[in-house]
Amino acid sequence: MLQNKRIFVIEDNIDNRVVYHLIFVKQGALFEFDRWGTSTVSKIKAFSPVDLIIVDLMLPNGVTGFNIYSEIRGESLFNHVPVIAVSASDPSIAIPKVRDMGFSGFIAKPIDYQQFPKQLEKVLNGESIWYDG
Amino acid sequence: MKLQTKLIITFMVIILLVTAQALTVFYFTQQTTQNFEEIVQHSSPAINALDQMNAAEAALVQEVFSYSLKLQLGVLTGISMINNHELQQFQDNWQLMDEGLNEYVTVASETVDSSLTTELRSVSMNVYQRGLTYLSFSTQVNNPELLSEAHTALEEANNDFIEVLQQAVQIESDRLRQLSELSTQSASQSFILNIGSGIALIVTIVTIGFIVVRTVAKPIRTLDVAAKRIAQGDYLQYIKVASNDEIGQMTTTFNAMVDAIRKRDFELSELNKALEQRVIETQEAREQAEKSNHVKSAFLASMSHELRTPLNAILNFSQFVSSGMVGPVNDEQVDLLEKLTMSGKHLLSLINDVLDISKIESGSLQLFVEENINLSEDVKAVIASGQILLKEKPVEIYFDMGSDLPLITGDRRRIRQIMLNLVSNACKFTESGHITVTLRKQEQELIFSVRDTGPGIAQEDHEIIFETFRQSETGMRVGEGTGLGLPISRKLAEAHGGRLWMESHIGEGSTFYVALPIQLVQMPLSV
Repeated sequence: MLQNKRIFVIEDNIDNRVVYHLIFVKQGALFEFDRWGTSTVSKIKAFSPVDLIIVDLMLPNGVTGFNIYSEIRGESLFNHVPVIAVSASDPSIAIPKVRDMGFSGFIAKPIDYQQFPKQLEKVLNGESIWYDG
Repeated sequence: MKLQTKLIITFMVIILLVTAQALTVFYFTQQTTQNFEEIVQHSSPAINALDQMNAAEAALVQEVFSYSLKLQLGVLTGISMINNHELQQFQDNWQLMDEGLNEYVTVASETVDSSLTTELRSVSMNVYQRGLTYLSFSTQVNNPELLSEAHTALEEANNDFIEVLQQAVQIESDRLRQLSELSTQSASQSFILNIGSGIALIVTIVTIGFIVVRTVAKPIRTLDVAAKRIAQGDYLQYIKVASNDEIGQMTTTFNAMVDAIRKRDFELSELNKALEQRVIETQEAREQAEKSNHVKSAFLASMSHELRTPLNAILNFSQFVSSGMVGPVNDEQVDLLEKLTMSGKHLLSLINDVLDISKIESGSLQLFVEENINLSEDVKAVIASGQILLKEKPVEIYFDMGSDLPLITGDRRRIRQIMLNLVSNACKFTESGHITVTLRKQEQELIFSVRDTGPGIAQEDHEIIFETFRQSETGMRVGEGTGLGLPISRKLAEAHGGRLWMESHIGEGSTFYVALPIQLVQMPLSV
């Protein structure tokens, strides 16, 4: 399903990275992690062409997925790439917010490893997805 | 003195004055009438008497002359003409004269000088005697000198009589004129008196009326002016009590009232100040509450994140291992790992429910309202989730959807949460039989219901199951649940302006209903 899809994941938590890693490896996807920083945009550029960007909403040093989204959308090279939030934040608050900002989807943590690839595939097919877990 | 007494006295005085005036008028009128009557009463008999005398005397003298003439003729012709009849007539006339004289003397005795009556009597007597003398000489035709002398004497007596009588008549007529003048004078006097007393009466009544009106009206006007000033907020009014009547009492009451108003006004302004203070305090308290609510919401959001984050690793790692993704596992390991997964999922649902109920109870639950929601898709998804929960149990799920279902306005996620809760409960508690899910429009509401053939809920548990962390005995036996699903669902329905209720009897299954308004009437959640 996700064979050779290029997915960039902004996630700082090691355990969560392991979860993504195991799923993506099994799915044959190509992926890259980064915690948000000054070099992130250039890293995404280096990883281009990117098919999907996944962002965590609560990052260290007060950085949020909402700030990141604006910066990503400001970059012409990948401003058309779907961005989804995968977060442990309260979905009842986070979903309306990210939807209003223009995210292509929200998946609540903990994720369902069996459903997760199907959900991403929907996004890659141009759908919006809102999973509150 | 009482006002009533004052007025009564005033009226009495006026009535008295009017009566006095009427009596005076009556008195004077009476007197005038009396004067006239007196004149008539007094004058008529005297004049009548004089008249009678005059007539009788004239007749007498006339008789004497004519009889004398007859006698003289009889002597001349030799026929004796004397008879008693004619003598009798002479006597009768004299009688009349005498009566008239006596009458006159009686009537006029008080008003006429006695010398006049004496003279009248004397001239009358003179006429009588001379008449008699003349008659006795009438046969002496042979002695003409004597006859002529007697004739002349009678004429003289007659003249004397007439003279004296005229005097008497003159006196009476003078008296009459005098009395008439007197009574005319008295009549005009009484007229002037009547007019004068009438004018005096009118002046007196007007004066009394004016005084009374003044004593009544002036204090009332003072009160009126004071009342107007009070109405404008000037409470420093004190009216001097000037009289002891009702108006005086009214003034006293008025002063007391002003005092009370002033006091009340003061109290009111104090109360107002206190109230303003309270409003400020309440506002501060509300701001404080809002602040603390904000802190609470932030805490809840952070908790939500921090509790769910490790569960991502726990649930996924356990499943990766049990599914053999990371290497071979034996059955016992799979069993334990699956139990770990189940516990993790239970913990997740507990976390979700606790966070929801905390939000509801802290009043920070927010609905994210969408319009034109087609719930039929959601119901189908919910039923699919229920099917998974049924596992191998011999239970059929039927879905009965009304035609022409309206699109509704609400928080789609929360509505689905309610429906999922009810369907999950039915699936958990129904061991065999069927579950019927219906969605239909009824008036301005959309009714979602879930009927099962489960064990049913005892009457005493009908309310308990809607209390937080409470479950029926069956619920506790089956386990799994958090005891929060139904209270959360009910609150979510109420937050939409809807309601959630149930019908159930032990052994007859249960039916849960949710009614949601088609046009959202968002309600503040009661905690």
